[in-house]
Amino acid sequence: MSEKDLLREMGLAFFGRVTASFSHEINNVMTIINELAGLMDDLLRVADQGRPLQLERLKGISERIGTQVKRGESMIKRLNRFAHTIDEAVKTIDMIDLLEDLIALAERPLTLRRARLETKFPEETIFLISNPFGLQQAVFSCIELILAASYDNQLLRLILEKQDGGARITIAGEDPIIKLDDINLSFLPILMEKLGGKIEVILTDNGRLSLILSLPYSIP
Amino acid sequence: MPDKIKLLVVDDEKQFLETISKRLSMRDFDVTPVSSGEEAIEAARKQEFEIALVDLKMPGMGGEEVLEILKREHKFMEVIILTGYGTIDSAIRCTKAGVYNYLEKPCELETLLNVLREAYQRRIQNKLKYKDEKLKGIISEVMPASPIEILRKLKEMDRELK
Repeated sequence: MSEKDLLREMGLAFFGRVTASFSHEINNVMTIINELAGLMDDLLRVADQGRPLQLERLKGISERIGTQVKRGESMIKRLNRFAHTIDEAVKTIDMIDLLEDLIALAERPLTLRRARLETKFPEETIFLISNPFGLQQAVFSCIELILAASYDNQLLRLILEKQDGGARITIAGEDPIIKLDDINLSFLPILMEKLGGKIEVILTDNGRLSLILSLPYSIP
Repeated sequence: MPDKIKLLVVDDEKQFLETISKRLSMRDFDVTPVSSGEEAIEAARKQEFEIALVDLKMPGMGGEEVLEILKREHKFMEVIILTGYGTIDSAIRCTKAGVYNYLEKPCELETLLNVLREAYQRRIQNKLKYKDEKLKGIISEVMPASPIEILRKLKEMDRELK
């Protein structure tokens, strides 16, 4: 398979994984709203049968439905923003905004592995001229790689720093890993090269894995 | 007043877990809600449940593993998988592991209630079938033993099935 084909295939796979994960979460929200509406029906039916109407309880359910609707709206907006990252091949990117969107994308995979993600961002954001989809794919793939290589309950750190001529993003696992995913590991350098940057893989003696993405201010 | 059906509900989405448990409690079920696979296994070891309603994708121990362990450790428990993430492959694996039914979320409550009642029916049928086979086995094993011997074996069997 050529590098171009590999990039296209991995890009599509990433797009599919993220949209599947979001659609699952949105379905969860719809399921909860369905059950809350059903519970409201149940209480109204009970009142119809002569028991007192539990107004406070109904109010509580109504508020919870409202909360879930807002939760759903937020997810749909994020999914929409993600879908639009492929609109422009190169644009000026606010890196903190991009990483915050990415953290939302990674929420479900992290939860399923009982992992936590701590971030460290500079006070002032960093702007890069680059490919937003590619950048999110690179960082997300690093998170996935560390999760796949770790036991549950891993603590991941995501650090954004200014670097001469660009930026550096470090994704590191606090706990030792158990194995490395070879396929992902070989794909990332190709992706980083396309973004004009490079990846450094550091495995310490005690088994901690750090992936450091160095990015130029502007994609060549 | 007849006993309610003892139902274990397992889902990591707490809002869903709380609401479905309330709705089922208002009907014929004595519901124990738990939010992880590990808690489900522990709960089932501490008290008897007749049916378990299990989410498929959960952090830590997933629904398929919960299904396998519950079916292995609790002969007559029926397990229903409820998921927002169904695939044909996982449905096949669950069927092989002995799932009673595999439902997708969101699921109409009437549908769920019908499946729960059918699952309970199957549980009773399986218990009766087991009792019947055991009885036949005892009779053929102890014949031509004394009536006291036969009675003792039957009493043992009855205790086992409680």
